[in-house]
Amino acid sequence: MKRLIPPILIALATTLALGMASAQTARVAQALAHTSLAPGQATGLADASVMRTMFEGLVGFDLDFDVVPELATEWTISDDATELVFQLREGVVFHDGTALDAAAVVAYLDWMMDADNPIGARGRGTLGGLSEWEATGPMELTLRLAAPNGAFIFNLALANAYIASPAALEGDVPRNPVGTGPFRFGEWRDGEYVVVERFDGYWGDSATVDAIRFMVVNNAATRVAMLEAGEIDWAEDVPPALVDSVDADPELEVQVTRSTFARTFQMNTQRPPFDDVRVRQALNYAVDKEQLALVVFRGFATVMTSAMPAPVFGHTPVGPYPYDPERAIELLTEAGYGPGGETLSFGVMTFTGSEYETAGTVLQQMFSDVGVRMTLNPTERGALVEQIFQPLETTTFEAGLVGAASATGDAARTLEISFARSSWPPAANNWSFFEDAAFEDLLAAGAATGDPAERETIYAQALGILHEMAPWVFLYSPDNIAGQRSGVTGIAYYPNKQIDARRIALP
Amino acid sequence: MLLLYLLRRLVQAIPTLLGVAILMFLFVRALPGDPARLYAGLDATPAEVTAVRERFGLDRSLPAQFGLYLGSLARGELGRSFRSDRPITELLERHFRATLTLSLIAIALAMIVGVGLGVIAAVRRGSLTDLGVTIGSILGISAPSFFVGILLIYVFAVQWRLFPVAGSLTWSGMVLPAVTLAAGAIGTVARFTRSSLLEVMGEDFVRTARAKGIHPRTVLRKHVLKNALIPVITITGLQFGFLLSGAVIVETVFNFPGLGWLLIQSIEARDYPVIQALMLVFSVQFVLINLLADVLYAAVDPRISYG
Repeated sequence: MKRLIPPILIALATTLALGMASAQTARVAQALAHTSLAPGQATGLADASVMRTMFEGLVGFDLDFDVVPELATEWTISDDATELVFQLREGVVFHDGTALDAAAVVAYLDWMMDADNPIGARGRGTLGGLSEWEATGPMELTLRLAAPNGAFIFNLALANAYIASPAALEGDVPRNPVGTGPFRFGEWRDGEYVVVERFDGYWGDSATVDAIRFMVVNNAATRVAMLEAGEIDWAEDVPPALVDSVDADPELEVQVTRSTFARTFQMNTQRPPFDDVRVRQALNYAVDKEQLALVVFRGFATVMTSAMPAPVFGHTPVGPYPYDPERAIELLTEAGYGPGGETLSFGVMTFTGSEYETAGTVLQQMFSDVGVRMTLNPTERGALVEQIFQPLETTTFEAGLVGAASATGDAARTLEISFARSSWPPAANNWSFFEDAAFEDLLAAGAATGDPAERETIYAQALGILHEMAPWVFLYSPDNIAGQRSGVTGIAYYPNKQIDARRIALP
Repeated sequence: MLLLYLLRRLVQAIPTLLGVAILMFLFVRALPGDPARLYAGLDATPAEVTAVRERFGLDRSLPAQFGLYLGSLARGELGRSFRSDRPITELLERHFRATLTLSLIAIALAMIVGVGLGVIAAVRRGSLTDLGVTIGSILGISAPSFFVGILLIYVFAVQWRLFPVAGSLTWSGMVLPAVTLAAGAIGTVARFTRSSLLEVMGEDFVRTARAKGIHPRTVLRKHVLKNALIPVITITGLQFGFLLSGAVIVETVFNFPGLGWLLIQSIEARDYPVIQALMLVFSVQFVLINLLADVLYAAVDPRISYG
């Protein structure tokens, strides 16, 4: 009996060791906590990143933000951009065993698009304009729009448009995510982590790890320390200041990619002094954007060549304004400022925190070089958001050094939300109160066609107008920076900072 | 007698807590920033923002919101979190347990290490050891905890990999945060022990005991420590109160899911119900700790009685 024990122990230990070695969990650190994992409700990037592993849309994005097939293998868009017909992929099942067909998608949309369903509000915003959805065949889905929208296909690729199982729409839906993705829901400890586990019934290539643990780590320095200590495999949002310490570690590497985020200096075009286009252009000439990007982001930023970051569909380079202080002074003099006239002075609102405050200080210097006096007003985020959403009648907004983001990856919504007359606060983000008739016509024309080439031509013209009218000083687009253990593959940021971890593989 | 005293003190605390509830209700709403907008996102449509506002009940008038709030408090409910839509009692229970565990370990560390160092310093008064303990105590008291925390992370987690960076409710996950949290308390307890010990060592009864020929170690253990430790216990109790509420920074540095960590997250999201509930919890803590301190004082000094 005694002699039996050691072999048993060895066998047990081996089994345990093998079991542990084969149960491979990838550990990903995110900066923000999760709020909901129901596609129709989730609001944050943290949610979207986790949902990416469990859900699929009719279409999705590749890493360059181009639309690619997911649950639909092919689709057609009518010439007037009001009808989209999708052929669904055969042999797809949801994690609960429900088969994917046109009826299932219709049942899910019935639930989410119902105006009385609080869990679908965000999804209804994303799919705004969708008026009818119909199974026109067992595997054929037809969507109809109330008005032409050539960019609708981009909206369908967003996280809020992912398709959930129609059999899992009761009870605690935000905490019971059931999709068709390569991972299924495991466990969620609020504010701490979400675990997803490999789904063996996945239609495509099976995931290479057994599970992914998405951990919430607010503090950037803590995320980097966890990387250095080998506690995580991938960390999002490494501040430029910490890139060097990641680079210095031979076991770690940084991942730098282009983003759809922008930093801009926005001017209230309806109020003096910025109702004069010459003043706005002058400030564009007065800023050395390369230098600014170097100081603020240590070079991890790309100077904008149009009103949108480069990865957004419809972007065409129309700029930037060259750094030309003399031209700036000329324009300011024409507008009546400078020697002989009054000094141009104004206040700028910006966020607190080193990035914005550093940028503000450098801008202050560059503006003072051309005789312009700018007062910097750093404001806590919540308070600033409240102020910039004031309507024109009550706003005190002169100028703001703020961020802008392309939520959809397409010019239509990106330009509309920041520059359309209908987006003046409090409706949306046209904080510079920009208004231009020719630009509005181009926006309408761009929405009215589904032809990509035609749309690109139209938006190039629209970007030209924005460049000329200069409601913003166009600055730069900060890169997305992540850190990881060397040899980790298959995980990356989309340009909009949503993480795609579906193919993650550990060294 | 003691029971009656405790009861009276607790009843007296009710108006205080009610005042805190009212003030916090107004305070979080006076903060600039619209929770509905922050929750829905900057790029949300006005319809989405309105929907969120209705769901949170923020479309109602201020008095109506306050009435609802008081009503649910009276029923013993704290409501649900805006951000995570979880019942707040569930959040509090989990995060309070984390903070309490961490604080208990820290205070145990402070007692053991602090008293130990204090005794050594007192016995070897004037020596290099004494100087070392004094310098160490002052460093522990004055070094900000984010600095101590990052230093410990760098040495013990990144360089030597003895403990994890991220704190968690496991033994190894609590070592670094507990040591960081305890650093100040260790210093205070050590300083206090040393001076209290020296004071008692100068008393007549100690001299008498020594004169009787009792072994110095026995004198220290039986006569000096027993008497010197009473005020140390009181000060430790007070330190515990600070630890419970002072864990905000430590918890952020170590990503430790306690109450302070929850508070920071909730303020950023303008999660009104959670902020209100946390402030109530902190207030209750303070009331209880003050009460405890008063009781402890009386225990130490028989001249104080519960009138």
